[in-house]
Amino acid sequence: MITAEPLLFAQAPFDRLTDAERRYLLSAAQVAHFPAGAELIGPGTDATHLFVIDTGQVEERVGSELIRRYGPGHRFDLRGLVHGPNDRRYGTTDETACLCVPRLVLLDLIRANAGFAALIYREVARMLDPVASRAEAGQVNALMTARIADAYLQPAVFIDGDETILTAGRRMRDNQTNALLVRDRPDHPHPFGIITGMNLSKAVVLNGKPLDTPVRTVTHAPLVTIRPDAFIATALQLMTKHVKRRLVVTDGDSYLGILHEIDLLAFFSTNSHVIAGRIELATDLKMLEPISTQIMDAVQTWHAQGLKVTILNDLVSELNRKLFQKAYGFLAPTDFRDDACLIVMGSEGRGEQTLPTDQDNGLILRTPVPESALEPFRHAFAHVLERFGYPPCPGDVMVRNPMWSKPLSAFQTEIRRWITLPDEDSVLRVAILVDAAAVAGDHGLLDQLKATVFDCLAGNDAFLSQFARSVDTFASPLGWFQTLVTEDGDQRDALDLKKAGLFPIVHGVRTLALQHRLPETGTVPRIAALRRIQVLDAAFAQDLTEAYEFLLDLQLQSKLTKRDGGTVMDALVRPRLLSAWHRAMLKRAFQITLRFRDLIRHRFRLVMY
Amino acid sequence: MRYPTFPCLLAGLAAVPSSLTTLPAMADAITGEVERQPLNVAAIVMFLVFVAATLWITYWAAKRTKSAAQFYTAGGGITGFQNGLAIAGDFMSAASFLGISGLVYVSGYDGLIYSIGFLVGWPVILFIVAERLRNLGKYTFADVASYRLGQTEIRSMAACGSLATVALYLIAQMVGAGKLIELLFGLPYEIAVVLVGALMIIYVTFGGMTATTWVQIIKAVLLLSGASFMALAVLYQTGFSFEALFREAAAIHPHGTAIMAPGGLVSDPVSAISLGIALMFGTAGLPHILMRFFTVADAKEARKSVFYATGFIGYFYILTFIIGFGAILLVSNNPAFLDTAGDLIGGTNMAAVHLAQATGGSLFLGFISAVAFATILAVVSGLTLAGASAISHDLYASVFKGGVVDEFAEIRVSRLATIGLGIVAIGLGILFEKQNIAFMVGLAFAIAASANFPVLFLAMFWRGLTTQGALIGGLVGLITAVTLVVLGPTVWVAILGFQEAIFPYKYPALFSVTAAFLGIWVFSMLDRSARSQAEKIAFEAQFVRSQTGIGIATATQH
Repeated sequence: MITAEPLLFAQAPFDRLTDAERRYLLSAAQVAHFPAGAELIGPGTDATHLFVIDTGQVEERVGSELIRRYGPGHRFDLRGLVHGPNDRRYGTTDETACLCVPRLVLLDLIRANAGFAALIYREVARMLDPVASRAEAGQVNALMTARIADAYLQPAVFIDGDETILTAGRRMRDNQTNALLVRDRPDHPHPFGIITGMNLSKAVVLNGKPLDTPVRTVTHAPLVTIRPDAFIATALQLMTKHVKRRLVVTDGDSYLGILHEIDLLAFFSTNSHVIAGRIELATDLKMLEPISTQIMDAVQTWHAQGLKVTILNDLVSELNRKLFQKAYGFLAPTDFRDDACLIVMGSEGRGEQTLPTDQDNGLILRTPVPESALEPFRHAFAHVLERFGYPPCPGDVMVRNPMWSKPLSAFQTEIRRWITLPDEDSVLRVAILVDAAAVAGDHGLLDQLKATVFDCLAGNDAFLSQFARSVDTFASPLGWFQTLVTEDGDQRDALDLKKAGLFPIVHGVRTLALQHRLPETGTVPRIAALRRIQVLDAAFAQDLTEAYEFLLDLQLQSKLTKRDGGTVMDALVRPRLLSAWHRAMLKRAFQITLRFRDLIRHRFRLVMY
Repeated sequence: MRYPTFPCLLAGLAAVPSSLTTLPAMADAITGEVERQPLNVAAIVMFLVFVAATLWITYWAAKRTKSAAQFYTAGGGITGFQNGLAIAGDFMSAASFLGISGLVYVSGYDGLIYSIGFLVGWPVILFIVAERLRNLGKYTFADVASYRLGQTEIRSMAACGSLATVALYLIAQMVGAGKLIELLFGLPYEIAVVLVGALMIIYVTFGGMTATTWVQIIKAVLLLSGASFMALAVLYQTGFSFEALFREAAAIHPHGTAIMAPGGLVSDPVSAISLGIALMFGTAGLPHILMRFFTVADAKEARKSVFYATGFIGYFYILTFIIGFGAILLVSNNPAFLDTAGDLIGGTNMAAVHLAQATGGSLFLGFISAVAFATILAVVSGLTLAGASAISHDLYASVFKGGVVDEFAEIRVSRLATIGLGIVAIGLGILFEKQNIAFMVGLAFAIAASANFPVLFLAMFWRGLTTQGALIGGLVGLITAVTLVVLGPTVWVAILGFQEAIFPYKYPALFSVTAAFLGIWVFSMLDRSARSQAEKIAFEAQFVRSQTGIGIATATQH
């Protein structure tokens, strides 16, 4: 019998949870038993659960240095859950039983219960403080990268100290805010304090002050200010230190707004479950229509929150696939709905398409289906997705195109031809297909199709070599003396991240995955699998993953900026606009890419071309 | 009138001490003392300019292939035409260019027979090797041979055969380049070889390892256009009349009309057949040529590329023939190119180089020297690639590390192997200065035909081939070839100074190739192990794939 529950709910912040929330937590949590010497959270790994110890003992270490011991009733690692991986290792010293609360459940509760959330973040902020001062050089972390300007700010509305409580109340109502900045005189630029709705209520209701009392007398001073480019984590620390719920965001002499603790917490809690729920509950196509815009907006928020870009990709591709699956369910005739497999290919299949771009999809049929049933579906599906905000694929790799929606046997024949008698597009097509992931219908059909691709390529070094050759399509942006070489022509000062780094990594990893028959489709999972089968050594796999994630993140950042600016969302970045630190990281990422290209060039004998 | 025997002609060609009376066949030789000449500054400047230009074009072409608009390289691979040019580039060494034209200069018609011998190897590749090699989708000869056989054994054997061939071929190029630089710059031979070797190492490690197909294509085009221009210049002198060319040449040449008829080459049937076998099957066993079928899109393009390559190579040999006769006409009676004894300055192998000056002046001399030099550089890069692959992939990764190897370690070994091969080539190039390098090339062809070709051929066509048979038979071929050459007149008598050769024939291929085939057959038939049974069963899948390109089952992975 587990006894951790009473222990858990007796202590802050879990004592703030309502009964319903406690039941939710318990229903989602699991009890796990670990032998002595087990590693619960390794250094650098993502914490997936909050562990609450029931019996046994756990040690927290950095390297060999013991930081803390945890006994029954203790919990860890809250910091890791909110803040991302760190250098700590949590291992059992005795046989240990733990209550494991999934991270998402915890985040749900944070969103639902503001009091609980406030305490959690206060605790995290407290934990972060020594970390920040320890200056973990080079270690960027999710929370640290989000800035004040990314969060929701209440407007900065002013009131003069001599104005009345009544005026203040009206002004709050008119401006839909519950805090005002109080200044001495209208011509005095700098406010000296802040007044909140709660202050007004207390003054009038509890202290019986008249409504014409000047606000000056109930104003809280001094103001705690913060710059818009400061990190979110700094805001949390300031709030904790000054015991304030609000910070005033200033840039020089201008007052940009008021950051409220609640908004800071909301900032962390946009959850994919809401969108997923909407897809799930949709009863017709009309209800699916706004989803893709919502996904786009959520991406912006998540990214601003400092969510790791690979996790972001996972979330988005999960949502996209749910959406496609639902649409397939509405549109596919029952004749073949369950005897076919809807697949997404290319970047969508790898789960690396953050912002909805082109449709890359296809349909594998178990047996031939009369054109009369198939043709209307082909067009309806492509049309609906286009309406949803997924533009048609320029290469027409779509269900709409009979070439990509046909029986399994026809696909297999064609694949043999692509590989035995390669033509212009063979490499591209194999690349698209090998990244395919099943979305709806009979997933086994895609497995059979992929087995055919792998069989055709087994030992066919010459085709694999021609396939691999594309990693060398573009020159490395690293010039002599390790300078960054930018594009020619009208993009003179820009650098295409896709050409320079992302594509070579994705394609090289894909080629290795093809050679070794890996079922994974994502680049990061493929790298992990290649590491497991010792094709890549552990250290290099790590470097490569980090380089890839860094480039991906930079690309997303650039695209989101461009989305805001209304320009084309391409992968161009301008190195001179980056910080010195980003530029250095960029070079490092390109160095690793270059090393990886060397590996691919050597393994697939690209020297011969 | 009695025709002078072929060996005597060769001796004259080589201009080596008269004690070396019998010389082996592969007469694309560049040997002999090069006398220090006053520097021809104009030619040197042109030489440097053209070498620099060639390197720049290569760099530009390599870069150009990397600035595509598409993410995926279009098409499966190199086209048949491009690959044909690249193969021709790999095959037409400076030794052939300078050596065969020199041979024609000395003996006329026999030189043509010689170049035809080289050509005969190509139909063998066309009909037997090219298509199947591409269908199997393998990179090197070792990859094909070990497709269904034991990796360790076959790769060790194949690596030995490849390295022996590559080393001997490399020496010829080194000596050729050394002589050329010695003549042009007036440097001591040793310094010239070290300089050339260092340049090659730098080129291969830093530049040459990129886009080798382009390097070969550019080089082939340069060589073909340079030689064409020279041939045109010669024909211009004779009013584009071959009849006039031959008539005047016969009038000038000391042997008279004898240069228009076969000489000593076909006088001894055993030697002639033996030479024929080496030339015919040697080409199909040259590791750097076999690698060229890896890059084409499919079997059809592989066939096409041999077709084009044969055309270019044939055309090239016709040019060398014209150039040789042109040299008789324009160089042999011009005192500017002759030393006090009336011999050609720099040896007869410099006939083409002198002809360049005679037809186009110092500018053209610089150009042709640069082309010859670029040719050597390109051939060396192809050879080094094959050698480095044998060392890093076959020996280091597959044999010593049992196939489990860190890729970066293999890359490092490959780079070290390149440098190592370069240093070995410099050393041997200096050591063999006085030797007839035609002999080295001849041995290279003989070894390729004896050690590599039988294993490759039987691996593709004979179900009964087993690891044991291939290993022993391949080694028998390799050892027989080397031993017979050492015991034959060329080494035993001419170099080691014994009175009589233990093995009477100059060319070992007839015997060593037979020994290899016999060895493979006998030891495969004797192999009754369970493993050999599995290998025989695996033949089916390999055979289907080699004929159609379609894999019917999961092939052996390595």
